[in-house]
Amino acid sequence: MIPIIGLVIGIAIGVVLNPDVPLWLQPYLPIAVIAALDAIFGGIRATLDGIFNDKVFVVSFISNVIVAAFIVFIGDQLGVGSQLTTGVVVVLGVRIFANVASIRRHLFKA
Amino acid sequence: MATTDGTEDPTTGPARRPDESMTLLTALLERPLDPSYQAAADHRVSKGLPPATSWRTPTAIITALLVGALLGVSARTLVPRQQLASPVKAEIIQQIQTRQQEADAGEAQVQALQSEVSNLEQSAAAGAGTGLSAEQLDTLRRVAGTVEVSGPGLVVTLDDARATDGSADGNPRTGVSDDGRVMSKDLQIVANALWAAGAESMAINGQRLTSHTAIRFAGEAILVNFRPLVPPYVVETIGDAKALELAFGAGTGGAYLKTLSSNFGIRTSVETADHLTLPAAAQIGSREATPLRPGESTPPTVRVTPKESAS
Repeated sequence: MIPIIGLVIGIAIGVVLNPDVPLWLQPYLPIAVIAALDAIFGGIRATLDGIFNDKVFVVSFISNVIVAAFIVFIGDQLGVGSQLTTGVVVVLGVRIFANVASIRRHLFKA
Repeated sequence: MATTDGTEDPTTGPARRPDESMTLLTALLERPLDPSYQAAADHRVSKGLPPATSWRTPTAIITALLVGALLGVSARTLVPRQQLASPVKAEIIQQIQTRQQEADAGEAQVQALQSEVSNLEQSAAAGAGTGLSAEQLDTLRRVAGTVEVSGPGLVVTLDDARATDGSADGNPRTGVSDDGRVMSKDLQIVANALWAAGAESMAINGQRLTSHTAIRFAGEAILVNFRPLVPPYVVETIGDAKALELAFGAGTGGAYLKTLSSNFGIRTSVETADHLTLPAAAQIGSREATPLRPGESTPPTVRVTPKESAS
């Protein structure tokens, strides 16, 4: 429950403060969001599997965001940024769906 | 869905799977959970601790805060970016409309002034006795192209051959030959043939032909009165429709059109019309030439030559 409250407070802080994201960072935001969602659903799934670990949660979140942003950055430098963005979104998207399917099985037995 | 850690003993491993060559896809679909969760749990179990840690540790809460902040910032940053564009767009549209209104107002002013000028000319001609009657003045204006005229006439339409219509991929270098394109020369020949056939007034795509008119090429566009035209090119002439049609068809013009359509596929049509209205020429006037005043010397001889050079 507390982490959910933390999540909501975080969203509120982000929306209220509305910091100016520098323009060069903006292309990485959507990727970072997908990576963050992946980390969240991974954490929930691990909790339901009974193997949640806070350190792994932190590390997977940060590394997901950094690696995804790095791949997109490399892609931009190589001139295939949009394709690699698509690739990252597909991979993380598939993982999110699979994790959500597993969570669904845990919660609803269906 | 396999929730095992997926580390298989290489010596006693299961039989080769049919999809062994697709390990990337398999890993993606069958083990979506980060394997490090399992590894960490195994590690904790080996130390005698419960496999799962609590969500209520500071690390987890701070990360949750961070994730939430990231979502919030993204929502604020990425959504207004599209909304930001619309006021700018609206402003540009506003500017375009303002300029268009200004241009329209200017055009209306030009027309008002032109009609004022012709009224003054009329009264001057009536009063000062320049030797020009109102009728003569009308004729002059009609021939010079400074007034709108209407009447029966002939409409000749030329259009590029079908093959050159938007060369499929939009690439001008795809080897489609330009033979089927209507050239300025074609329009010149048609216009001259129509004058020769007895046309009294003529306009191409709404551009009145006057003694100042040039039909010429600029790149691939045909310019008439220095305005670029887009196909189809509609040459409207006023004159005795039947006589025009006969004279044009029998003369060089008709033969030329036939050659164009049979050799290059240019689409042409010649139709008579009962009622045509040709616009007045947008700008006509002499900057350097000054007419001789009646008192100064002999009045200028009025010569009406309908056969203007159209090139």
